Amino acid sequence: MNENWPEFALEPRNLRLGLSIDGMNPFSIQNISYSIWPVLLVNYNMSPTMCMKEKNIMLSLLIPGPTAPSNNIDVYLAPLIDDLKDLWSDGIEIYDSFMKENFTLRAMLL
Amino acid sequence: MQDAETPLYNGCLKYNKISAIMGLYRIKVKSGMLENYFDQLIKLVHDMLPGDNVLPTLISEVKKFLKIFGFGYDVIHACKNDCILYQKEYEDMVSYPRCKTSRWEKDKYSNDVKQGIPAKVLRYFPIKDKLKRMFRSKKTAENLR
Repeated sequence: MNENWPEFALEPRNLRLGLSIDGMNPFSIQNISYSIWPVLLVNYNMSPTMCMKEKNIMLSLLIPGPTAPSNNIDVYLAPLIDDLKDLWSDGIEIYDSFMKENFTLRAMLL
Repeated sequence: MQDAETPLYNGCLKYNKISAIMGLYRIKVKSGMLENYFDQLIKLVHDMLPGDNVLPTLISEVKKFLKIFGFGYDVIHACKNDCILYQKEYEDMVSYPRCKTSRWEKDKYSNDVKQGIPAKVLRYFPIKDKLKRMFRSKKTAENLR
């Protein structure tokens, strides 16, 4: 990865994200046929012990039921993908309060 | 933004509007409190404080206030059959021409279209705002290196 995109690897703050999706039932046994699909982003920049902690996992989309989106899931992922494309190609200007400076943040989805 | 820095009430040194709201809302989220109860709680706190305090009395006002700082989410209407999202070129359409399903909810009994109530709603939490907030925190920014 670092060999393919050396300029991305040069900035240690550039994010490497992981995406995970699964169906869950918000109503427990009151309505067992409903399934809602949260889309979660995991931040692999943090240490392995921290990145899977609940507070560090980002909820980015909530796909409503009553059935699973199955093959049509790409329709729902579109807003997220648009933003991720922006983050990969141009990046965004962000203020880093640890280094006390502005920098251009880019992100890739592993 | 400047509104957030105003003291909770005239002469209050310890809390300003944003820190008071964040403190209360944090308890609500952590404990999984119902919105109804939170409504009652902030009404009571508002009543206890001196009369000129700036604490909102409704949870909808709290949410609107937090939205300025990127704590909100985008509501995107979706086709009931998962065909499209009503955004960009489809923004103003009321039904998707190919599957002809209405954008709006139908009444269970009379089958009338309920104007303005979407049949399916996708909620998007903008990640750019989230990342900006992440680097705003000194501790989190250090962990991201």
